[in-house]
Amino acid sequence: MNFSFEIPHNFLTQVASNQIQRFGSILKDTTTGKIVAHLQETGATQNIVSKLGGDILLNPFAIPLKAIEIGSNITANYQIHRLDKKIEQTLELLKGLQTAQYANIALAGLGLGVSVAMFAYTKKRMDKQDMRLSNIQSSINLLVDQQRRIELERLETDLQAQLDLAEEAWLHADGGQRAWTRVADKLNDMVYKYPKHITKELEIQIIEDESLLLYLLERYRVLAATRIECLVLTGELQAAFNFSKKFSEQNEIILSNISPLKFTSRDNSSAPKFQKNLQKGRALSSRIQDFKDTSLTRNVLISDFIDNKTDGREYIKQLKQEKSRELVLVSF
Amino acid sequence: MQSLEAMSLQRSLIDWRDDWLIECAFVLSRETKILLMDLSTIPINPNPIKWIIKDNEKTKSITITVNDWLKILQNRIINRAWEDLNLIILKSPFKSRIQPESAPEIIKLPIYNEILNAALNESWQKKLPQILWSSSSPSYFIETMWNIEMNRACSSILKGLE
Repeated sequence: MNFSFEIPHNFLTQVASNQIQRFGSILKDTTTGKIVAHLQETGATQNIVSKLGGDILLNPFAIPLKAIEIGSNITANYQIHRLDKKIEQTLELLKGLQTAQYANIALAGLGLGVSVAMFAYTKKRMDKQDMRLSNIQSSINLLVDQQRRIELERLETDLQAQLDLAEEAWLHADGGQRAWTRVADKLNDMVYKYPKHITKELEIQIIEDESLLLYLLERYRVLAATRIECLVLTGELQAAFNFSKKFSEQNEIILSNISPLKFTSRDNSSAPKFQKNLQKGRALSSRIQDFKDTSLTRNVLISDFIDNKTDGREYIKQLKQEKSRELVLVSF
Repeated sequence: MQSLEAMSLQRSLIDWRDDWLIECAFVLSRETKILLMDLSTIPINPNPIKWIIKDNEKTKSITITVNDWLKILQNRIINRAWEDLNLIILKSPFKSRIQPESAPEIIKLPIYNEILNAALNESWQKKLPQILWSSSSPSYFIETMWNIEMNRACSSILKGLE
């Protein structure tokens, strides 16, 4: 085994003294420039979601919005990348990994590292009423184009089928190789259907109801993460890297013009809730930036798999078995 | 691929831009009303032959009101935003390679004349909100001045890394 899982507090002193810095899900030595560890979710990541208030909140893109609604101080965490606050906030993030405190899981749910969620769990999550197109009432009315709606509903059904097959593959006699390859191929056909829907949604000048956009982003994220997981499981690391790189490049393009004001209605700008709406827009734009950053830094992790000839299946298997720590740091 | 430090700095700049964008929106939504109220207190010249004699006093009053208002805006958001930006540069690993950025001065930009002309226009109550802040359309001030200047500053900083 050529990788190990570290405990975040091992790095606290080095982060505090600025020997180690963080970007996205990477920790890097500031002197040598070497990557020292990657933030990686484990099989216990779903515990974070349940700690956020049960099954109510299932879309990780909506976490900061929920926090604003209930007045949590997570709103301050949208500045986690500001250099002048970076050390302090990276420390909070790492300490928070040990306790999964609500206020310190700013990046959780966006898919840190390679996804290791149980396919069955992912299917259950995506099947929840909140995560389905039929539940987004107001946005359904806006989907004037019936063709779009039919396509999105078909994608929902297809994803359920692929997740079923992916989960079952663990029990296949060939170790899952053929099934995961088939799933990866099918997901490749599906994942490229989402950018056009996301782009269309972003053409709206002011997005007053962000539910459809968040639905699309989360579906897109899960599809890509699942595909990457299948490719890693089958040892197709170069293919996983190429796809991950293409995915992150595409995100840069389709999500390039996200601005907090896109989500803030100018109506009632004299009302007290206007400032709260501005905060909400800010938190949402920051969350989308976090998603872009974690997508980008995933490429580096997969590149490290290739350089270190990591056994992808063994890597994911070990992370799945990790039940007590929701997030770990991986080093090679 | 860009270095991780460069990507990290880029992210910090995006955060800086977005933080101050919402600050600017919040300030404009309130201060525009105050400017409209201040301008409404400037008396209309009752001189019946004002169409012959240019109403210099009124023009002067309007210009002073607008200039004072812009000075507040300059100090309250623009100068503060750029101080914040220069702090980010100072704390970055690239501080020796990047020059501090100077805050743009509104009165030296084309938008100053547009604001002043709107204020001097007979339909100022309609024209000024269209430029500064209204509930029915994007803010021209934010789109053409604020966004452009912020993006220019960010590009200039990132260019310094090349």
